[in-house]
Amino acid sequence: MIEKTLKTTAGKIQVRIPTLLDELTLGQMMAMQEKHELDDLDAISILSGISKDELNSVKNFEDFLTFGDYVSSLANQIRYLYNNDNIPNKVTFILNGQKVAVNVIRNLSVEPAGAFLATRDIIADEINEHINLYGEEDWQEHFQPSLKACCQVLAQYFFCRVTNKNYDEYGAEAFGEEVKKLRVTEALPIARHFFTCYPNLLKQRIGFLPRLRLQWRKRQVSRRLKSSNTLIQ
Amino acid sequence: MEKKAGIQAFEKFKYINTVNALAGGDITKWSVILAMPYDRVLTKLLLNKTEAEYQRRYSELLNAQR
Repeated sequence: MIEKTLKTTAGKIQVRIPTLLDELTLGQMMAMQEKHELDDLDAISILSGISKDELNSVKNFEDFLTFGDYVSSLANQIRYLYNNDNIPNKVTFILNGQKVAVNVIRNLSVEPAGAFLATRDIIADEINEHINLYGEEDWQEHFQPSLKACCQVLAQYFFCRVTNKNYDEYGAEAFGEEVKKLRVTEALPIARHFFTCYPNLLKQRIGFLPRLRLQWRKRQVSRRLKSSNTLIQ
Repeated sequence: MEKKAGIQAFEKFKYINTVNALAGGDITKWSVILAMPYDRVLTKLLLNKTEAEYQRRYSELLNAQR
């Protein structure tokens, strides 16, 4: 983290932004991804949690130059973020002031049925959107799920596990706000796992060769699944 | 036939189609199904599919005999 006190027209503000990817939350990354034409000031505003209006009141704009360097460095690190597949052993949430640690690596099944079905639809929609935009040929090669979809998938995966509540679709959706507080470096590899092993979301983590075999079968299976919700009518 | 009848209109309801079918159309049972382990739901879906295929074949055989 880097912290600086800057003079404003009304007094002083303390600006604190992450300098390492590990200090960045999923919510911050999502806010940056959703912002069109993100400039340095937008990025500093999202990363520091200080409104852009307040940042605009800083007397000397050169004060932001130091932050700009860190923002560029973070942008470079973000490029490789999707390549990271180190799934954390445990993830810790803070709910109502209490720490709740959840084992992840030993239990990568999306349960119960409601969470499984919702996750399957989120992933299918994301893949279909990608295919509609870029075509079906070799879509797996360049497919990168949006952070919004990753957050939705993780909310389904974590909701019952973390809250110990019975599944409820509205509660699971709202749990996305807690997921946004996770570090992006721990959240993304877990989400990536589900996108990789789709449509089998009960499967444990698998090695490269079985994953390759899965890729061969994936296209046929996903075609069948696309219409499975209407087939049972 | 199903396509001609407009089955694609159900697509927008996504997984709720599955849940509703398993609940026999009873909305009060949706939450029970959503909270079940997925393998149990999957078993029931496979059972329904097997039953439907059996019924179709059985009807075909009966019609062929007449």
